[in-house]
Amino acid sequence: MFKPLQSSRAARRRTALILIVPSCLLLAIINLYPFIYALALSFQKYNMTRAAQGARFVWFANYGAAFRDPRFINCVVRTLIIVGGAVAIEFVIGFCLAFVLNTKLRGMDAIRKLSIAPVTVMPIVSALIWFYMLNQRYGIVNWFISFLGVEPQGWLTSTTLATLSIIAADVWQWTPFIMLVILAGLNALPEYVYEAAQIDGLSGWQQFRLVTVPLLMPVMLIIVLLRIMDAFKMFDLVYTMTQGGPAGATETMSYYIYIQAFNFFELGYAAALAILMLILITVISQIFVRWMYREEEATAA
Amino acid sequence: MSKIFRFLMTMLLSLMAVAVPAGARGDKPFAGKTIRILFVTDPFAFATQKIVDRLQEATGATIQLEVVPYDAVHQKILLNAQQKESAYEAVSVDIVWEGEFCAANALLPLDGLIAASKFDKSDFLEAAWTEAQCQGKQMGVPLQPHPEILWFRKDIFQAKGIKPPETTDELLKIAAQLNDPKNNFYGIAFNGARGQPLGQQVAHFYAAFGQHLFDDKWHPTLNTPDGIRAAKYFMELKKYAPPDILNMAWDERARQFAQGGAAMCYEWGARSFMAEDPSNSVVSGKVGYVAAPHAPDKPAVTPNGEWSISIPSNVKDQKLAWEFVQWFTDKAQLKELAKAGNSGMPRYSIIRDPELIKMYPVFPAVDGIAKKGQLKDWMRPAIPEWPFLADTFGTVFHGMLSGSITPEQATKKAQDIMDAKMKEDGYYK
Repeated sequence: MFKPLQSSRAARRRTALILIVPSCLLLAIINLYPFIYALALSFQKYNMTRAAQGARFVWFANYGAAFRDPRFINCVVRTLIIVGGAVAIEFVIGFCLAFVLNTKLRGMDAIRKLSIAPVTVMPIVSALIWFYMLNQRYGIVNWFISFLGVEPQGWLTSTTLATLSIIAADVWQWTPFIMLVILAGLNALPEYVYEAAQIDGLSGWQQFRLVTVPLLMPVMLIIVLLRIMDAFKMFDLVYTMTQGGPAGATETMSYYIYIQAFNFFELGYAAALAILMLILITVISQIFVRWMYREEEATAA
Repeated sequence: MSKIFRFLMTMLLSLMAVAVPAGARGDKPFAGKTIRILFVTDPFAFATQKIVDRLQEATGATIQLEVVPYDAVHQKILLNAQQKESAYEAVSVDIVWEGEFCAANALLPLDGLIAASKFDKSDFLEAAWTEAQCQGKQMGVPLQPHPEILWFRKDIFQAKGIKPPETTDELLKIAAQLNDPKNNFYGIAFNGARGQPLGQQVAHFYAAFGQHLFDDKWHPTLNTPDGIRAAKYFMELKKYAPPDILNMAWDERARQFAQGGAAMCYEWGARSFMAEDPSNSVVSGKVGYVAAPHAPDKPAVTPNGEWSISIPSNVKDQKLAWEFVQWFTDKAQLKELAKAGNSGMPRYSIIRDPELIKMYPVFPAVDGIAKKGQLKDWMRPAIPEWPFLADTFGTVFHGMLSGSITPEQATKKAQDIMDAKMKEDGYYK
C-alpha cells in the first residue's frame, strides 16, 4: 500500500535532483571557480612579466604587504568616503523625489519616465560627459559659475573638489534608480492601512512617520544595501575622470586593484587585494543585513 | 561524348576562374592573407589608419588594425603572450617596455630573420636601431623614433627678439615673460596628468638635471640634490602653465600649443604634425623646434622615445609576420606614412627628403640633435620595473603639483617606494 508512495517520493527527489544539479553546476563554474582561483592566486607571488620566475607560494605575504601598503590603506579610506557620501546623498534625494513623483498630477508620468534616463546611460559615457563638463577651462560648469562671479575651479584637480565631482557623477547616475525602487514600494502600500490611520485620527506627518516609513523600511534597506555593494566596485568614473588623482584623493580600491593587476601585472598581490575588498564588502553588508532584520522585527513588534 | 565535352569544359572554366586571380596575385605580396596589427594611439597609427585602404589594395591582404591607448597596448601585448597562439602578426612596442617584454618572453627576437633576409639596416638612425634591442637581441624594427624636444612660437620669439632657451633657467625666464593668463595664453605646457604621462616627464626632467634614476648597483637615486632640483623645476614651471596642467598629457599639451594657447611646449617630435596641420592648428608655420633645455651646469641630453614594430613570440606564421614588417618599414611605405601625418621617422633617407622637410620643419632639428650624438635613452631605463617606476613618479609628483606635499617630500617618497620595490624584486638585500 505504502510502497508506491515511497517510490514516487524517491522518484520526485530524483527529478528534483536532476532539475537542480545543472544550475548548481553552472553556478559553481561561473561563481565558485573564479573565486577559488583568485583565492589560490592570492597566496602566490606571481608577476606575469617574469615568465622565468613563474608563481611562488608565499602564504599570507601578499595580505601582510597589503596592510603595510599606504597606497592601499589610502584607497580603503577614499572608497569609504566616496561610497558613504554618494549613497547617502543618492538616498536622501531619491527618497524625496519618489514622494514628489508619487503625486497624482498631470504630466507626472512623463517626468517619471524621463527621470530614469541617467540609469540607462553607460557608466563610461556618463564619466566622459562629466569629465568634459568639469574641465577647468572649457567645461560648462565653470562657464556657468563665471556668471555668478566665481573664479574657474579645478573640479578634477583639487583634492576636495575631485572627490565631490566623483560623488556628483555617481549621484547623477544612480539617484533615479533609488527613486524608482522607492516609488515602486510606495505604490505597493495597501490603501486600507491609510484608511485605518485616518479613522484613528493620525495627521499627515504622523501617517508618514508611523505608517509609510516603517512599511517602506524593507525596500529602503535593500536598495541602500545594493547601492553600497555596487558603489564599492566603482571604477569607470575614476578611470575616466581622475585616474585616481590628485594625490590619490579619488583612488578607489577597484582602481588600485586594476593598476596592480593590469599595469604592474602583480597578479598575486592584486588577487589578495580583491579578496580583502570582498571581505570588506561582505562584512559591511552583513552588518547592514543584521541591522535590517532587527529593524524589521522591531517594526513587526 | 557531349557529356564528356561538357564536363571537360566545366573543369577548364573552373580552373581558369581559380587561375586568373592567382595570376593577378603576382604583384600583391600578401594576397588572401589576414594581417592583424596592434598599434598605440600615436602618429604612426593615425597615419596607418588613414591609408589602411590603400595598404590593403597594395598588399592584397585583409589588414585588421586595432589602435588602443598607451596602457592598453602594454596590457594587450602581455596578455597576448599568455595565449597559445598570438592574436596579432605585428604589435607596436615602446622601447621602455623592452626589458619587461624580454623577461616575459612576449616578443620574437628578430636577429635570425634579419640575417636570413639580408635586411638592410644602414639607412636607420643608429640610436633608433640599437634602442629596439634587449640584451643584445633585436626585438623590433624602429618605426617612430622621436626626441622629446621644445616647441616654441617662432613668430612671437622673433617679434620680441627672444632667443629659444638652451637652459632650464632661460626657459623659466621666457615663460614668465610671455605668460599671459588673462588672454588664455600660457608660458609653457608639459605633461602633468597623473600616472604614466607625468611619470615620463619626471624622468626627462631628472635627465635635464643630470640625474640618473639608478646607480650602477640598481639602487634608486631619486632623493638626491639634483633630483630635488628637478622636482622644484616642476613647481616653477607650474606657475606659467595652463590651469588644467594636472590633467594634461601628450595630446592635450600639443593641442594647447596648436590652438595658440602656449608660448612653449615640451613635446615629442613625431607629434609636430599636430602643430603643422593648418586644418587643426592656428600656429602652422609659426613653430620652431629646439632640443629641450638642460640645467645650466649639466650637459645637454635629449630623451629619445621610440615605437618599434615587433612580432609576438607566439605568432603562428613567423615568415608572414616578418615579411609584413619588412614591407611596412620599407622606404616607400614610410614615406607614405610621413605624407599621411607621421612626423617621426627612423630612416635618414626620409628625414632628409626635401619634399618631406617642407611638410615637417622638425626633421632637420631631429637630424641636428642626432648628429651631435645628443639622443639618449638612459633616462627611461628599459627594466621590467619601468612601468612601476613611471607610475610611482606619476602619482607621487602629481601629489606634489596639487600642493599636497613638498618637492623634498615627493623625492623622498618616490625613493622609499622604489627602494622597497627593487629590494622585493631581488636586485639587492
